[in-house]
Amino acid sequence: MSRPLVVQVYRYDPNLDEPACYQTYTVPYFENMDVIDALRYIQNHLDPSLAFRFSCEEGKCGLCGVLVNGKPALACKHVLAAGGMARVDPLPGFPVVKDLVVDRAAYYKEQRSLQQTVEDRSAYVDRPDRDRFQDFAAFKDCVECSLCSAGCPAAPALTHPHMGPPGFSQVARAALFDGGVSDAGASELFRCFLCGYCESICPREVPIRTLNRRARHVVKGQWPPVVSTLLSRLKDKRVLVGSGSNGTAAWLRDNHNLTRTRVQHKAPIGIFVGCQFGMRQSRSHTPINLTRLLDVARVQYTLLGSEEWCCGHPNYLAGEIEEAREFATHNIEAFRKLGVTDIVTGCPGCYTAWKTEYAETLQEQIPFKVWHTSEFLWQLLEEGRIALKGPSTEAAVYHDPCELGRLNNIYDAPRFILGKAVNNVIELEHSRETSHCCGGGGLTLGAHPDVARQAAVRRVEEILECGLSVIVTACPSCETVLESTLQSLGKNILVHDIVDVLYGTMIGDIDRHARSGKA
Amino acid sequence: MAERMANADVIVIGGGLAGLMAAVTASKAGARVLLLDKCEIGKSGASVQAKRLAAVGPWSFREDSTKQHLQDTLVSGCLINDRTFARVMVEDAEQVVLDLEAMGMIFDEKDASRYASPGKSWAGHSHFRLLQCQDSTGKVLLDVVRREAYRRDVAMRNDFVVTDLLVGAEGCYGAIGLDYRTGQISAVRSGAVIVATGGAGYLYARTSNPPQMTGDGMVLAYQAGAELMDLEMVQFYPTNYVYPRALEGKNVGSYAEAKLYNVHGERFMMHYDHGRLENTTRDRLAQAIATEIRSGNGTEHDGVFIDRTGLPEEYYAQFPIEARSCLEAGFDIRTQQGEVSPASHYTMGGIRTNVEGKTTVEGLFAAGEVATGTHGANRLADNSLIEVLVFGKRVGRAAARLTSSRSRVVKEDQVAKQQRTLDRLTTFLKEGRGKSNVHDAKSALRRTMSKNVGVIRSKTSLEEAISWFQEKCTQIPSAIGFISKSMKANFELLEGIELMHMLKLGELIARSALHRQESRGAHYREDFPVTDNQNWVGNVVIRKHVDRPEVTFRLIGTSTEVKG
Repeated sequence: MSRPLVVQVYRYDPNLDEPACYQTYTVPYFENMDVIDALRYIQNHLDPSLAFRFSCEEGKCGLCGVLVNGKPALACKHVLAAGGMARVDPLPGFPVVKDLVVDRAAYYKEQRSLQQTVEDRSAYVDRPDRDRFQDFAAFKDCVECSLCSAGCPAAPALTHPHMGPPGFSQVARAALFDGGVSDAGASELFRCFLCGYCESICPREVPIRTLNRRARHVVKGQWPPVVSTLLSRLKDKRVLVGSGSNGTAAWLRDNHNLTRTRVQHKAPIGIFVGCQFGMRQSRSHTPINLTRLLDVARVQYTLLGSEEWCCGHPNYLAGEIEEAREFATHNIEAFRKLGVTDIVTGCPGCYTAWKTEYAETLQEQIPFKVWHTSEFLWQLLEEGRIALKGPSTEAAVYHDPCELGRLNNIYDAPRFILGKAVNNVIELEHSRETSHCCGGGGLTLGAHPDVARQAAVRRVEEILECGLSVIVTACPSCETVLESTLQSLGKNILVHDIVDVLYGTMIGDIDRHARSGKA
Repeated sequence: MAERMANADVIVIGGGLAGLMAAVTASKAGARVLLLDKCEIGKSGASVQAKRLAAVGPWSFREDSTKQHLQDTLVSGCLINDRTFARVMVEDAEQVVLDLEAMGMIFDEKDASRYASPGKSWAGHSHFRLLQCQDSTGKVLLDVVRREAYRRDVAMRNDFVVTDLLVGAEGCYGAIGLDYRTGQISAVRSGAVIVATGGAGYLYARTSNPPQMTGDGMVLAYQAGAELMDLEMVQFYPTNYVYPRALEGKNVGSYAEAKLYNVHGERFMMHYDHGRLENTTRDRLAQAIATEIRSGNGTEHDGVFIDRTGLPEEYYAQFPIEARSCLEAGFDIRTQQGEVSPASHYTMGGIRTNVEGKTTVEGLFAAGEVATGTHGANRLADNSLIEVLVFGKRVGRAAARLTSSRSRVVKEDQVAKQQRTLDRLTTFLKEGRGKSNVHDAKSALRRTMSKNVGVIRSKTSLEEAISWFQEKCTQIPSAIGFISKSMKANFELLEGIELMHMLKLGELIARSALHRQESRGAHYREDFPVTDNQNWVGNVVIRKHVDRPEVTFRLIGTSTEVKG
């Protein structure tokens, strides 16, 4: 006989003058029982007034979304363990009708408003893009359970606040299949950081980000002006930030030594700096610190200097695969002719471009092994090639960048490095796979700064709750956004890159790690 | 407590595929449509689970034809289908598929030759003629038609349970219901009402249907004076899991190549259908399994063993979704036996209509599983989706046409009727002081249906059921207690309303089954085990006559046609 479950359920009755509370029930266990089975038992045997909603019990109707121990789940699919304890809450973001039943009227109303009348039906059936069946196949899987909305960092500030990611896939659907979408709908696509949180929760594995990107491409004529400007500038200048006659080599401007010894030399390791590190003054200390570490470890590396173009990732984020291809081709050739075998980059966006997007856009494998700086430096540490003076700070909090963690599964390398530098690595409540986006991704920052801002503020507030003043991450976008948000909230706290932290630990003073910009 | 809701030209009750299709079509024909659902439109019925759609069209084999599809349907229906219905269904199928594609539906590759060879019989169809969208055909169709409904400005209300139809001297002119989110009772007037509330499978303890399938619309129509027909014809899917418990309620998708064993390890189908064994018709298989269990040869979980182990990998590759669901439930069909028994799956019977969906009550229409006529005594596999689509479309159009011509001189006092409904529900809530609750009562009802009006019926079992229902109808309101006495957010009340519908419908089904003294298709009488084509090629009709059910039998071809 397996041990019974203890199930704690959120109870709320709008007719009573009492606040919501939790009630605890003991439920007999049977193998592979799910949350619906448990709730049904409670309703039938313990408390007939318990209200919860479900229908198909096979994950197709999308009606049984709840939080189980704080995580969004379909009650009919979430299996419980013998002797376990589960807390069940209604899905956040919707008004609670009673107990676990929420009111989705606002969702349906907004969904209706995204539909556009398709006037000419005759053309509909024989549309040449019927071969986009792959996209359609992805749509068929969305059951509108709204688990994604429960976790979406953009959701609270969306124009259609109750739609969340299902809205993106529906706008995409309208754009791809239903003859078009309204300007409001098209704009909605850019209220998304492409952070992948929704995909990580989606019980049907809907590729929401891919659908959003594809839709962005289709509605090119309806982009927010900021996005159009950004991308045409990129096409023109080949770099993302600043005035760029030097490409991303702005950080090298005063470093004649580095330029002489490392730029455009034949070497096995190619360092791809990226626009954010290379061209933002506030971040240019990081690539310098990286070169210092590599020098100490006697790594044979090369830099492209002004030959380095933007990795092209912003094109990919806008669904502009053709444009992205040009950037890929150029950068690959630039390194290839220097005999490079491994690419190392500190920007998770560039990392994603090199690691997966280039092969996808070019439809062939690229001839390099690709590393994030945290992985590469971890390797060097393991090989004993960098001697450290030991932890120089009591504690630091680490923020997982979406594009490094959730989207590329790199969680441990930065923590390993940080663990050498501090005695305690503090984990945020939303960390690793559930890390909340800083609001810097998806081209949203330019297109919808209000949406980006609320996400940034929320993340900063979560960080500040730790009460620490050493904040570390591994992405220049996160660093920029978090730092400027902290400033705007009156907190004069710097955000360090993991490279800076390692350098600081090497020289024995984490706070003194160079912001001077001199090699 | 009572709210004034805007009137509509057409009210559709039930937001499944039939209801949505009817709503869209009525709207296209110029009607203002209001679609109501007691849960969530496009989500909470049986349509979402449908997997395949049978239709003959340019995608079919050259050798196939609508005539053959019709023939297959009539053979399955054991001669008591309404021939006109069946013909309309198969002939309108192709156009309806095109209509759906024009709304944005994309089916998997339609060409039949990609899936089978001509002439190879497929689940009772003489040729392969199925369309699907992977394993989510019903769900995707719902999404597509719902979006179309938005585009056509169909007004929609979820969480609204219709408690009464508004019926007067000139027929049906609207509906009254409870928005249980807010606790408001509203009456809505319209020129026509379409009932599309689906089947009644949830009346049985063992069912593949979701909990919303409580046959509400059939009872609403009955109370309004409409005729119901073929109620005794309930299709039981023969092999539905009883064990492992995590799979309870799920149908075994493919049982043709399976082996069934009783608790003694015997392959009992040898005795029931020596030639075809498990590859026989659904009704025969269900009856065989039920008999075996009743004779004491069932497992400890009241099932029989199903064995699909040790088959070649190509077999399992045919249904990967099912195999995966089983694995998720801790059960590997490749190496383990499960236990199954029959479960209610589809209701062939329901509200009697003509081929435009008109019931015997002026202004009242019905479409989808809630209606009857097409399938006779046994529905052919995969004929459900096409039926709800074809008739949803037809009925929507007919209802819209009616409202444009029907005079609106109805002077009935709906405010008084709203008040009466409010009083009735309030009494229902307050009257119950008993220790029992609505879930206990529902469970007891479902057990009674399974035991007495299930796969195997007899005069004794059916009469016992009828008395049980009559007794409970009067007893239950005071026997059960409600924890909340409010109209607002009271889910027990919703279940209570369903329960009262189920009590009435259960009795009507039992009466119909009692009346038919033979066995035919899904209806099996152990006291009349033989099919009697001399006397019983016809339909059992039931209607309310002076507050009592009146059951009659009409030979095929003698039924007065419901006037168009």
